[in-house]
Amino acid sequence: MISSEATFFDGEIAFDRKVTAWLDGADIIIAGDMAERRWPLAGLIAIERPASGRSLRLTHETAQATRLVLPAGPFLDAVVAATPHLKGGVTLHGTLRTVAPWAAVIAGLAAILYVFLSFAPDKLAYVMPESWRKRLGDTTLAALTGEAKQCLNPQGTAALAALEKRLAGDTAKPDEFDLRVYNIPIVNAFALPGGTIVVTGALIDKAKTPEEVAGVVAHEMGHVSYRHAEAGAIRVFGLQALIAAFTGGNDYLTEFGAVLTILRFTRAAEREADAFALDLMAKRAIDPLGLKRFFESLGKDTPLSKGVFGQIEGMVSTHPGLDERIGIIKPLPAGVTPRPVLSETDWQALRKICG
Amino acid sequence: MVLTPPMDALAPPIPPGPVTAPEPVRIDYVPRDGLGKLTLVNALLTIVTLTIYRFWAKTNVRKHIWSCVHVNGEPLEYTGRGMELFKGFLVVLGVFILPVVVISTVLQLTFGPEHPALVIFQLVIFLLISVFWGMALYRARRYQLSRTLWRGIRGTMTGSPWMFSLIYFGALILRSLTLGWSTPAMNLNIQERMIGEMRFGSMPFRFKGRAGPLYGQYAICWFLSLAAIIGLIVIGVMLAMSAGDAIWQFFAELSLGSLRNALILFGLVFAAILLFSLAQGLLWSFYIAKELSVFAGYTTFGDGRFRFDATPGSLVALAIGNFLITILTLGFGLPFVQQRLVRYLCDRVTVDGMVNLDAIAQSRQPVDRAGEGLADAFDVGGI
Repeated sequence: MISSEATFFDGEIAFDRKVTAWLDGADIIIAGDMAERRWPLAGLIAIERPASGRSLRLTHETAQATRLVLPAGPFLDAVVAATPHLKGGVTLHGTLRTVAPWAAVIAGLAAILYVFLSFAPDKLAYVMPESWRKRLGDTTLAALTGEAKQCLNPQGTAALAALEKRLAGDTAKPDEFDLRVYNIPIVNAFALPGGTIVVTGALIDKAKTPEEVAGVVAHEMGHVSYRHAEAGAIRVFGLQALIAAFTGGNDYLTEFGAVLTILRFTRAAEREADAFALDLMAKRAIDPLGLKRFFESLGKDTPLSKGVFGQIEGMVSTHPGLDERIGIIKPLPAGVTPRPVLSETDWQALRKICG
Repeated sequence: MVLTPPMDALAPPIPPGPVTAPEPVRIDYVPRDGLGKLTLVNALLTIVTLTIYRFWAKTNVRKHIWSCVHVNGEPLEYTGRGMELFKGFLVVLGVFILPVVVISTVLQLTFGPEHPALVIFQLVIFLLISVFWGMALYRARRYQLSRTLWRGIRGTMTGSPWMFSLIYFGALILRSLTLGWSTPAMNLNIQERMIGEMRFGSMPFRFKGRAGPLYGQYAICWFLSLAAIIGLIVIGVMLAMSAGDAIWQFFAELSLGSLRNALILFGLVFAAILLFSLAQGLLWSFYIAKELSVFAGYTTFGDGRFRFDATPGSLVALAIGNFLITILTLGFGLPFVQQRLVRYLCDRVTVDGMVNLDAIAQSRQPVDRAGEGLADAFDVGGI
């Protein structure tokens, strides 16, 4: 009969009992120094993974405060051989025990990410108080425009107001939109939280007709109506909260990075804004082909939008591909006669707004 | 009024055991292979899981380091689980971190970024963190002791984390009010709780002594430190004066956006801070070594009295080594920092006298179910 000297702790006192351990059928028996246990091998738990040449600490599922230390040797090898689950390895129960908590953690993470970054922002954007929208807009505007000057030439400003009124009509609340031109040397337009729409001077320079500018502004009005910028801002706050929560610190995004994130809308949001713009132009009898021409002229001047690079850019950028956007622009429905957006005088004044 | 008997009187009688006798106590660090591999796996999984794995990583490192500490030939065993730390984190996330983030966001949106309300809120949060700092330390120690097994017996803390938190906060305030002179007395108070309320099974640690013997060394370090600060200022002013007009030239160029000058200024400031911290560290290591060995001498366990052979040189070497490991591994080498720390303790702590270890009975204190949420949030709590 193979047996071994061993050390046993009963979990009640710190006395190290010198015991003898031996196997009896499917049980291990521990006896000596006023201790006596008979443990079924099936209930043995290894505190660490067994390794050859090293002693092994064991406990039993019926008495988990106890410890049995078996020295390295033939007896320990026999115990491990008779009790395969001590080696760990792959068992259904063990795998479930490891995988289940992690699956729960990952599912929880996914749920948190969805709630914080998708569901909540889109819903909260509509219930955000007016004062918060304005304040967010002011902060974003300051960070976006930086040193750039607002273009305030009086005749140009009057023409800009006329353009806004032509698009918004009489139904809009008086402060629903706040259309501004800034002297920024890139061709672009932005919809900010709170209804502020920033058009760059370069965009107005590039446009050949007032319909082109009107199309771009209509698109940004779509972003405002759908509260896309507000949702973006809430998404950034949610992201910051998550980062703070996970790292336990305050690794806040920089202001500039945050602004870019707020103003980068998803492709779905861009499509929504495009549809809104086309709808609005039809309602106001504005020729949408102006917007089409504007997109086409953008395509001509941007080498990256051609060929392989153009396709890659279409895939990675948040705006739907230029071709796709041009494709959905159809002429006004039959029976609607386009009316000019601005008089020739107003258009010339608008072109000089930054001058 | 009902008289409640002390905790141990409630414990069932110790089952008849063999006759026990006091024995000397020996603490050794017996290194094992595998810490490097563990560190690597932990680092990878921590990155992949967006830091959520850190609780399991911490647990694995503790299991390793604990098992290297042998007391009278029998290793310690760490029985904590990553899930317990994760639960503690979730609690603090829910009751502290998320409310703070949400409230400060709402305040910022309602009043704008530089409104007094926001400043007041941040001050309140700072105050709350200072008040709960001690609680975080105490609860972390209590959790770790309750998960430390030696010969099948676990440790515990018997005092109140609230009381400790209050004393710790008081010490913080007093230190700034007395320009540091309350430090030895208040550190004594803190350790009276932190060590004096520690138990291993049924046997308490006791901490008893006076702060008086520390004040000589403290005074020397305090005045030398003051002299070092004054000296640094004098040297700075003299350098500036000897440079004369060149300095105005330098700042004029800097204000015009000279990158070279900005780099030079950054380098100089960095070097000055490094030099200053090094000088302060060297100076104060004399006091810290003194405090460690005096406090160890005040600590008893049964009939054994502790001795801590802490020397200024070895402390500085330990600190610099750990600093370099942390910097060079971008913080992922933390397990080795902790190993060095525990090893230092094991190598230099000895116990004089005989302790009847065999007679220690299991602790009857309730055990925390989740651990260290606050300590994780504040990034304190030792290993």
